[in-house]
Formats: sequence, structure tokens, C-alpha cells
Amino acid sequence: LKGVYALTSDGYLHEQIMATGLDYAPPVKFFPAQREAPSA
Amino acid sequence: VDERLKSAKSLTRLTGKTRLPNRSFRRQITLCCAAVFLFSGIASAQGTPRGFWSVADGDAAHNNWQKAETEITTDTVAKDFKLLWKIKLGNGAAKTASFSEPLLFPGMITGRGFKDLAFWGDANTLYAVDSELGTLVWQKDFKIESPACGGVNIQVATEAPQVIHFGARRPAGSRPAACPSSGSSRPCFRSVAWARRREADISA
Repeated sequence: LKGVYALTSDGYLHEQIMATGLDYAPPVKFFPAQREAPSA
Repeated sequence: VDERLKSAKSLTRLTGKTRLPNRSFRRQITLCCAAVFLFSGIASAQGTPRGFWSVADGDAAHNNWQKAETEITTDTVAKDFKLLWKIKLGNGAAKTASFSEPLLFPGMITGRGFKDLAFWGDANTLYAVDSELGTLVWQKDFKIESPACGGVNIQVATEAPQVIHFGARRPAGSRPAACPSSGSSRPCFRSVAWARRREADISA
């Protein structure tokens, strides 16, 4: 299953199944909230 | 015994008949696999396959360059490019002011066949769009508890396309990388005896 990763502005990294958009795994805290994500 | 032999022979005949198409089918599968491996090796030599854009700016180095692309030139853009479709995502300006850079993942296997997917993100929604038909495949709304000021968009990245690197070889005359744990210039090589010692150390 291929995944697509989404980093939201509250600092959580989400992984969705690419074909369906369903959650692949629970989101994980990636960086503190209220901070802009560094560019990819 | 004769009856058993007869039935065994008839079974062999039967299975022989049924095996023939299976054998040719297996041969076809083998040929297909060989072709896939061969072409994936060729693709690996050219870098990221054409049509993929898995992170913003193309790659981690922000090159913005798809090296496998050969057909898009200044001439073809002027002559052959036209608008194929447009789609409205989100609830307009009230919800979002902009979208993230679109990412491309062609040939994704889905329940409805192969799809060329494009991904966009706004402030709290991720969209997957069929880039051939211009239709929404799915969207995911994220519940953001404490959004950043200024409506920061979701940053999106897809898994890199899988490429089997058959042609990967060290340059002639070069040595393998030094072993980082030992600091030795010799390659990392551990014997079975070393592994057993290590296991014993851990368990002790």
C-alpha cells in the first residue's frame, strides 16, 4: 500500500493510504504547534 | 490393483491435460516478470520515472527538474498544451486562500483500476484528484486543534516511486564504504561467532 504524508499546522504528521485516503496509522507529533512547517 | 492403476493413469492424463495451459501461462508470467525487471532496470538508470512529482520542488534538493521528461519543451508547450479540465476544491475563498503545490503520482493501483493521481492540500483538507479525468477521488479533512496563525497550508509528500536498481555497481577500483561502528576502512563484516557473542552480551 502506498502512502501519502500530510503535515498539518498543529504539528502532526498524518499518513493516508494513497488509493483510498483512509488513515494508514495514527498521526504522530512531528513539530511543536503554532510554528510554520519548514519547506519540504 | 488394475483398477487403481487405471484410475491413476486416467488422473495423470487428466492432470496432464490441465497442466498444459498452466505451463504456457507460467511461461507467459515468467516472460512478463523478466520484461518488468528489465524495464525497471532501464528506468532506474534514468532516475525518477517520468510523471512523478513526489515532494514540493521536485526533490529534497529543490531542483524543480524532472530529468526523465523529454517531450515538454518550449516549442511543445506553445503548440500542444491546452486546458483539459478544471475542478473546484474546498469552499472557496472563505475557507482557504491558496493550495499547496500539486504532487503527481501516475499509475496508482486503486479499486477502480489504474489512476493518475494529483494531490493538493489547503489549510486543513487533503485532496486526491484523478489527473486524467479531473474528478475528485477522495478528500480527507483533518481536525486541527490549534492551527497556526495565517492559515498555513498542509505540507504534502508522497511515497517515492519504487525503482529496482539492477544497474547499481560501485565504480571500478573503488572500495566499499568504511565501517562506521569500528572506524576501520574495511567493510562491515560480522561473523556468526561475533553475532553469538553479541547475543550473549545482551542477554547477560
